[in-house]
Amino acid sequence: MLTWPALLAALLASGAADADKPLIDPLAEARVRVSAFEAAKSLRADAERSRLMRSAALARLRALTAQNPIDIVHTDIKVAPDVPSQTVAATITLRIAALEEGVSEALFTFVPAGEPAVDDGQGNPLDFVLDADYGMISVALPAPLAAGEETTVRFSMQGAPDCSPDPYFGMAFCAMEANFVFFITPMWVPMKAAYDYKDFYTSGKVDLDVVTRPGNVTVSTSDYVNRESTSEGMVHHFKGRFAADGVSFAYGPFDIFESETKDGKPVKAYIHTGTTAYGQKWADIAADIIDLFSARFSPYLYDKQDVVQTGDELGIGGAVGPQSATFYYAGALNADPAGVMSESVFSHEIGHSWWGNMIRNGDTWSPWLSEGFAEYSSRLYGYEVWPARNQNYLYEYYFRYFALTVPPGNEVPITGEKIYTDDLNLYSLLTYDKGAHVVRMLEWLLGDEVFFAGLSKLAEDYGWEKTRAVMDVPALAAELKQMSGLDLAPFFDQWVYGTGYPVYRFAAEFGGEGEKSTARVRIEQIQDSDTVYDLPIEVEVWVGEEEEPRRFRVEFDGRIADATLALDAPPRALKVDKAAWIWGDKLPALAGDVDGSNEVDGLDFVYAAWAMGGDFTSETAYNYYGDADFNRDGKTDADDMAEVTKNFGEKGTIND
Amino acid sequence: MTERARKVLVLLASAALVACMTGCYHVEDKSADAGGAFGFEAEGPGKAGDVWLELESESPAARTFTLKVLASGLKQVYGAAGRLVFDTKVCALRSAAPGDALEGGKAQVIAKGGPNAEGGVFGISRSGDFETSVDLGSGAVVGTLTFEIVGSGTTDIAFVPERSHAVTHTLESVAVAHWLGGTLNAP
Repeated sequence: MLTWPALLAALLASGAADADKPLIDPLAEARVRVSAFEAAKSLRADAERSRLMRSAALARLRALTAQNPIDIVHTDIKVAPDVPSQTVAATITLRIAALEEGVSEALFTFVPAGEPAVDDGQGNPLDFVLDADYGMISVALPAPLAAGEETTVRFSMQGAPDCSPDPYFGMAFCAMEANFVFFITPMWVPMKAAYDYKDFYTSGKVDLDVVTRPGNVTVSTSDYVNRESTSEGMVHHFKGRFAADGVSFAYGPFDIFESETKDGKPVKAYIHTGTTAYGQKWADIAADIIDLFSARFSPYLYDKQDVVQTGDELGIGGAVGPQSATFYYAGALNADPAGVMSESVFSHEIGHSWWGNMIRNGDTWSPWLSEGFAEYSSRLYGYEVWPARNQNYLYEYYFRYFALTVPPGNEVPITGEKIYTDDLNLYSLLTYDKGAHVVRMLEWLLGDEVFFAGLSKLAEDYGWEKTRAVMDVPALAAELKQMSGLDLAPFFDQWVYGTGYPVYRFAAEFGGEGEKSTARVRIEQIQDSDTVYDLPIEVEVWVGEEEEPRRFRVEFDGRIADATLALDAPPRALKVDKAAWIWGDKLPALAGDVDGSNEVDGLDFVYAAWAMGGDFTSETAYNYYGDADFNRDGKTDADDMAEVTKNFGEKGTIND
Repeated sequence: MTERARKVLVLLASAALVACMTGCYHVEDKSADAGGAFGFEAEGPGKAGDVWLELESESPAARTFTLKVLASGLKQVYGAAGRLVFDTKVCALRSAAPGDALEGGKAQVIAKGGPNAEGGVFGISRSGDFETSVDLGSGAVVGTLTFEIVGSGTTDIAFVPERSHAVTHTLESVAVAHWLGGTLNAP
């Protein structure tokens, strides 16, 4: 039996996704679902990191009672990992400024490597209290600071960093292997303890010196300056040009593959293990991703982008996206770009350059503003490089996974305190998947031109380097409202602050003939809730011999949308929201019509026969086909085939 | 005529009547077997790359006949679907049954046929093994279609190519050169 990756590789390499076939392509959906499984692993890994960080932040939130009135205006790090002893020797010098009068204490998140010492940068010790439970340290300043006044706090330590894997996925965000070391946002670098997201970000830049054995290549989130041989070893100097909160670095025997963006910014892929056959392609792809997002959102601010291979410690699918350098599980950079969709992971993480780094999320209770937007960005790039229906299926996959695995009573709004649930699947599905879908629904509602203009304006008004402003949900709503002139309050109430989703049942009737053909469609919202969704919905009609469907935007009047579409040739199929713009279910009134031909016939029978035994959640029974799952139980089985045989030969009609 | 002679005549007459009745029946049956009572004239046989229909059997008593769905030289076939147009006042498609051409491996072959507004539709497919298809040799019997005669007349039974497909297990179309039907004559 073919494994999923083998199937995927074979089919994508053959270009089968666009091969001639009768109207529908269930296997393309299967292929996408294979990829989605892989991407989902990555997202869940990413979600775990996000959630863990958030858990710590929540702990701090409970510990803090007021905002932390300091800014870190500069960070200087010198670190010398020692692989044999699995320790680091590190000195971190922070320059901090008071944000109000009389600041006498500075509070940082901090999990030291060994016993820390704290002084004023001149060797004069400072008192501190280390709270290991919350991972925080409170440092008593030598004298109260006046507003705007600066002082220095220096942390020194030598010992073993906490590189233990998390309890859910076994992911570790640092490792010191024999010839390879990486630290992603190490907790031994003090960061400002935050009362909330708005209070979290600091203005400081990060300079970094990494001491390694000779012969290593070092990469970091700061910009490379030079290296010099010293008595301590080879010192690699990096200088930050932009404010950073997530300093990260790695070194090892990297092979480097270079590309550049259209505006000449260097993009490099770093590979230290496994095949390097695709290194150049991945560097080029990373540059393409930046070019696309620069065109759609706003110019890329940073001086470079490094895509860095880590190790198995990050797990399968794990990736992290701090600014200007992004870090990936080992296999991502070893994979053939033609055969798997690693670029969906790359584009998510590079998307964070905009959503999280350049445009900072100021809403503690809306992680979707970072992760949902990054995932939306990933799909946006996917539409550039894969057949559109692959990405459409991914959106449909998001929803179906949610509908199949989340009981209605368990859902929480994507904005709100309840989002930080311990249910990682729920958190991930809502923050990443529904979050991305909400962004895309805004695109659908506003139209491309207005939507992307709104995002550009958002980047202009909330670009952190320029404005020190942070985005939140009201800011997003206000920008898009201003740009579109639409009252978006109902949208945000339903999709951001509310729960639930629409269920559409559609019936079609084909009429007329020749150049006076028509397709009438009647769509009814049948969800149990009283909520009425007024988003327009897309109807796709395949006409005559045309390969691509014609697309119509149909408006609702209450729970009903009813439209008669004039066509100049007979329709041969009709689907409702096949592009999955809307986070919701769409059921044909004519059960058994798998391919939307508005008749249950032999092709539907063959499709259903092929799909028999398919399981949405299985990696081996990948012949699941959503449009043949009429009872929406996540399986295509005898019950669904019974619908085909029951209605065999029937044509769709609309009964007024 | 003597009484004996009348009895002989009656006996002879009775025997003749029985013989006639029996003979008449056998004549009709022989005629039907030869396709004389209602018959199907196939457009085929097809060549390599074609799918065609051919008469397999008929039952005048039951007013039914069965057509074979044959194919030649098609590669990697998972299933076949057909849409047929014909005069529904003359005949009706009642059922479909799998032939042996699609058998192989762990798949079972299933079939469904039935009427629609313009004629009939059918599907014949492997199922339970979604990763393998089969190559069809010369004159492979994909399945059979059973029709009922519902009236008298002559009608073409023709495929609608747009909705008739042979597909692979990756659900891509298998190129079919011609879909060949035939003509039913039901006096």
